[in-house]
Amino acid sequence: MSVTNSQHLNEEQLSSLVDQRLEPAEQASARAHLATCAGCRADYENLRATVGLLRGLPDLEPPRSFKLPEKVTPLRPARGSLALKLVPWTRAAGALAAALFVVLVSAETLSGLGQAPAAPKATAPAKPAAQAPAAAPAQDRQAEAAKPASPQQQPAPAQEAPQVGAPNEAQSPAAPSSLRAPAPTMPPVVPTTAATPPASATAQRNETVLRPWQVVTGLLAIILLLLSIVFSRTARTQRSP
Amino acid sequence: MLTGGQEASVILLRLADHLPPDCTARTWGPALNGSLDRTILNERASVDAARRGDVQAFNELVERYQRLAYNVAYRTLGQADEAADATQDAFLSAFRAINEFRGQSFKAWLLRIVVNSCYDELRRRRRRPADSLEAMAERAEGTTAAERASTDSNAGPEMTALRSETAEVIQRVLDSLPSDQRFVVTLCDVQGLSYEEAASALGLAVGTVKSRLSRARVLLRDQLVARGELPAVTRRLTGEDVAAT
Repeated sequence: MSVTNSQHLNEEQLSSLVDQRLEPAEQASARAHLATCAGCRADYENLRATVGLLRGLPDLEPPRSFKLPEKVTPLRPARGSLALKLVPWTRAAGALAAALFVVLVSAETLSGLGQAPAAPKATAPAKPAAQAPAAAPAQDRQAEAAKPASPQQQPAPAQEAPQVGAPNEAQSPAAPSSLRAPAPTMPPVVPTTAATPPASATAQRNETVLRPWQVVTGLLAIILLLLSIVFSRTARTQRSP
Repeated sequence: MLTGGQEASVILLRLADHLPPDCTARTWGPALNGSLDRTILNERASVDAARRGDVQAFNELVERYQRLAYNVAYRTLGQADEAADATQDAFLSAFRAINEFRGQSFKAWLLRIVVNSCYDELRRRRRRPADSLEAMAERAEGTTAAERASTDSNAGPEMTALRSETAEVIQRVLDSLPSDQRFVVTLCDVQGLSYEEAASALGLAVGTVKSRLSRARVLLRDQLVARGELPAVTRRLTGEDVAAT
């Protein structure tokens, strides 16, 4: 990093020169160069002024004392609040309840079909609809079975939907053919409207058997998930009041 | 800022004239007064007592260094609440790890913990992107309050504190730096540590500190010129510094 009079100074040399941290020989030649080069001198002066501004920043008064309390808390301090700690737990419990809800609903749907296989024609119109927008009508059915459907739950039922649909097809022999040739006799009805009547029929039929559990788990899932949102909000606002 | 250019050049002239030749003078001020030995002895006693679990003794160290710690945290995080959190965390970690302190300088050891605590805070901020946006929005007000509250600043007699608007602009510019560079600039330029002290606080080689510092200063200079805090063309072309050496 030696400097001759004709060489311009690089950033690091200028910066070190501001701090007077160049080797003595290098410093001497750098100074000599500055004396002859207006460009480098201007760079140097501006860099020096920058450092001057930074050093002129006021030393701020700490907003409070950071002394430790006489009894220092256990090894892992309560970093963040209780609310912040509860967030993952409520979230996990909420997800669990949502999963349970889905399992109960699908179990009900399955057992409902198993108990009453006498109406394969009734379920058939629903199949073409299930073929194209596969998840949506199945979800509708579940949503109707237990009214409190929350946005958070949607991913879960969507994943479960194929499982709900697959055994149904196996149970009703009419289904595969109607799947391949989507209901030629049926007029082109909007899929959702076609799906609703049998779906609500299923729900009505089995309402009395499992519905309380569905409601409980569904509500539980919603409450827990909402709670986790509330906790994370309060944890946030506590941090920056 | 209407008179930004004029004001900046006045500050520039004033500061350039008063920039101490030894850039480490500011924070070592008390130590250089001849009480260096006694300070270190007191510190040793406090550290030894803290090792035996004496919180009160440790709190003497807190009292001595909390201003430094908080200011490092504030300048690197740019936000008063986060800076306070990071500072508190740092002292708590320091107390818990006091048995690991073997070094010669408690200050250097503590600074390293403070720096780590600030990096932790930055990581936490990154994990809550929404929150960091809120924080950024609040920052303007927060900084204003913090800067204004610092009117009782005990800046050295040779270093008149900058006007609060200028200080805010500089803080915003600091915030815009890559974090690694911001730490180096905060320690070396804002706090006036030597390259060696900064290197030990950051766990870096001295050469890395030097090059990061120079890059950071160039970025800062360009931003300050762009914001009218520094004149684009320097007005001091008299070459008196050259003559002085």
